[in-house]
Amino acid sequence: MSPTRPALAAKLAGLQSSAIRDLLKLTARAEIIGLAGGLPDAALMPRERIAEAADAALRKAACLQYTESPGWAPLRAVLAERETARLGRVVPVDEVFVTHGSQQALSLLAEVLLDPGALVIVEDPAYVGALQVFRAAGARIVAVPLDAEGMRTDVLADLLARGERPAVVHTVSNFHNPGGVTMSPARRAELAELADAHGFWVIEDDPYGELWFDEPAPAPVATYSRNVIRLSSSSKILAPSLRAGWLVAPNEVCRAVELLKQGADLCGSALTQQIAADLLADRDWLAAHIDHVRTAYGERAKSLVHAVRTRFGDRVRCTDATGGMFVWADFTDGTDTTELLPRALDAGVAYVPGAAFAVDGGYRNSMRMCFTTSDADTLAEAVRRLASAAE
Amino acid sequence: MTAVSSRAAVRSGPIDDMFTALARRPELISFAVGAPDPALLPGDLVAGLAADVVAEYGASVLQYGTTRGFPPLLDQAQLLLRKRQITDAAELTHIATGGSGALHSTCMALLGPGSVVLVETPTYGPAVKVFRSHGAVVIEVESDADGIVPAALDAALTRQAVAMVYLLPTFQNPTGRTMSATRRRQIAEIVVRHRVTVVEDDVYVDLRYQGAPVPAFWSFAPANTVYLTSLSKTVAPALRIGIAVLPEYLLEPVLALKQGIDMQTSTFNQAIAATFLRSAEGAAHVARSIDGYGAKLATLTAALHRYMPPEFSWIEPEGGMFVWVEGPTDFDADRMISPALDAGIALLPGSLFYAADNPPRNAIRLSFANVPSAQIDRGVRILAELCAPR
Repeated sequence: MSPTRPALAAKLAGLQSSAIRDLLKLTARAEIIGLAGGLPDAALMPRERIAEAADAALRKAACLQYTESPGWAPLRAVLAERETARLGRVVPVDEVFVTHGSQQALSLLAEVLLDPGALVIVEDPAYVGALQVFRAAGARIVAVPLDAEGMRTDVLADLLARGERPAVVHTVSNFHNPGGVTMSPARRAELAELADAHGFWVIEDDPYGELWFDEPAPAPVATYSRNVIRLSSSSKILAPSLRAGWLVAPNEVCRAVELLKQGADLCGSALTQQIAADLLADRDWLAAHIDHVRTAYGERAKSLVHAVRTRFGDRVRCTDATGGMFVWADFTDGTDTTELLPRALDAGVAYVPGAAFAVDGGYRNSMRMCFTTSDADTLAEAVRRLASAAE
Repeated sequence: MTAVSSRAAVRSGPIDDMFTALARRPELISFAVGAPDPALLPGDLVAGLAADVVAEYGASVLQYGTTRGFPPLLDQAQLLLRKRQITDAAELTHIATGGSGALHSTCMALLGPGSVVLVETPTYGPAVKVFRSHGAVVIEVESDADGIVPAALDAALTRQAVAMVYLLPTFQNPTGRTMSATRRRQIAEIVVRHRVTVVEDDVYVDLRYQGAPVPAFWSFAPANTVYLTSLSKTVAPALRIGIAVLPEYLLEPVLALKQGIDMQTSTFNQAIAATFLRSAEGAAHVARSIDGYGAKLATLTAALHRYMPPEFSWIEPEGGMFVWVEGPTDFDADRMISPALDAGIALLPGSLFYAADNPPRNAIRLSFANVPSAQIDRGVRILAELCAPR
């Protein structure tokens, strides 16, 4: 006889498979131009350089062994230097913690910072990976809207004035996924000031900061306050398969994360972390490589934005895509993008409906489009198909 | 100052001090580290594979992969599992980030505040910490040289609702004992009757130096068993490859959790592992590792016989990485850790390997895999001098 199923832990009650992941399964067919993914372009990943770095790494026996839970020491050292340059203050190695991608950093931080029922403020539309993590941690989630300058910090200030006491405010400060926008310097300073005044942590998620197209992203929120925990990774600038994410946080947070990391997966891969260290330390090569990626993505972004504005005119408003991987678009005529999706798929194009990113419903007229994995002609064709579906 | 959640209070103690000393004093002979021998890690072989996998699979090994795992490694995993009598499990298998990653996501799925986990005694100490970090109450069940005692398990399952029974049936960490096929069958009958889930932690199984293989516990109760294994002991820990076989009802929830935990295990590392497992050189490497560890175990047990006082006893395991040495009831291994460091050896006290509040203190776990062969004899001589009655 089959067993009666043991009850799954209560935290699974609200768990749903990611709508985006389900959508991606539907759209993996070759005849569909996929704008739904969130993948960097594999053709731009530095294969030969990675194979070379792997070969060099494996001359050190330690790269095949267990390593320290906070990460492989040479990578932490390289990251401390990079973050020191970015934040304009000395970042000690003790304040750098390497994770299995940024996703793991988020999941460990949620355990460290959140007791069940704690309040988390997120942006709306929200980064889905963060929502998953905060919901699994049993947090109460309240959303603050984005506009063209990023998080509406005035709305956050109002919430605080009304007595809300968040444990954490999460922001994707640069080239937001999925919103595409960047928080202005003034709002960064204001967010940091609110964090200091009200004693909450800011988790500043920054996977896209290096992928600026015309001008560099503003100084991180973390430059303005020590209550900011910065997350980044090499997934978008090198390769996701290296699973090299990191967080920069005060020592007591790093030590707490370390304890939990030991239970979560013991330690990262010294091999992939040494590969990442090698590539990140090779400054001249890295600068040229990132510049190449920026140029390619920048051209694609411009093509997509141009195609949308030309084809749809005032019917669709979209972000300028000054960096990152995504264009966020809103139909102004009431078109429901979830209802449109089957017709779009029939026409041979896929995107993610905005509703997938809504914290409490909404964004039914919006969509996220990813431009990184298609060339200009393909993007133009995708928009043409979208337009024919939307007629 | 900004708050850190109550679950993450940081502690330190003599064990942390020991590991600090180990990092600073490379000349210490360490029986404390449960890691493979660096001399037996396949650096040259894997170096060749790194370029091969990029050439063979192209950029897909550098890209995000599926949460479930890289298909060529899932295929190789089936061959490994079949040798353990785990068959027809392809649809139930996923790749985790190490054995510990697999255990963590399983715990997230099964445990909540107040959940009861039953463990054998002694058991793998870090796993007890993981269960407790998920809010579980961990209860020891009477065990003997063959593992958990069937009647005691039956009684414990009758007394209370249990979320999970955690077993390490083969070359157990820390005792090195192996549950016989007969005992596995008996335990399986009990867990099926009580409709409870077993987590079988089976990371040492391929390190067999003597005797005949025993079928995985999973094979006796497949619908009730979460089977967890890894490539850390036979290939390399740095690849962080765990392999999990889950009952059907658990697979999708665990994959959804894993997506939130770390998205997926490195595809690059999975590709290296798949290519390694597929190759003749990989098989030859594993065979050499087994010979190397087997020889170390023989050296260790010979030294124990030669030097240890008669009041001390140990089981000679047929495989794995550990020998569990028990002293007389008044022997206090915890108190020995500092003098041992002063004398030049690092040890783990057996008290770390119990779930009970006041664990026995009269045992030591000796890990031989990471000790250079030439140092084992001298290390045991030092240990014996420390243990000698005075």
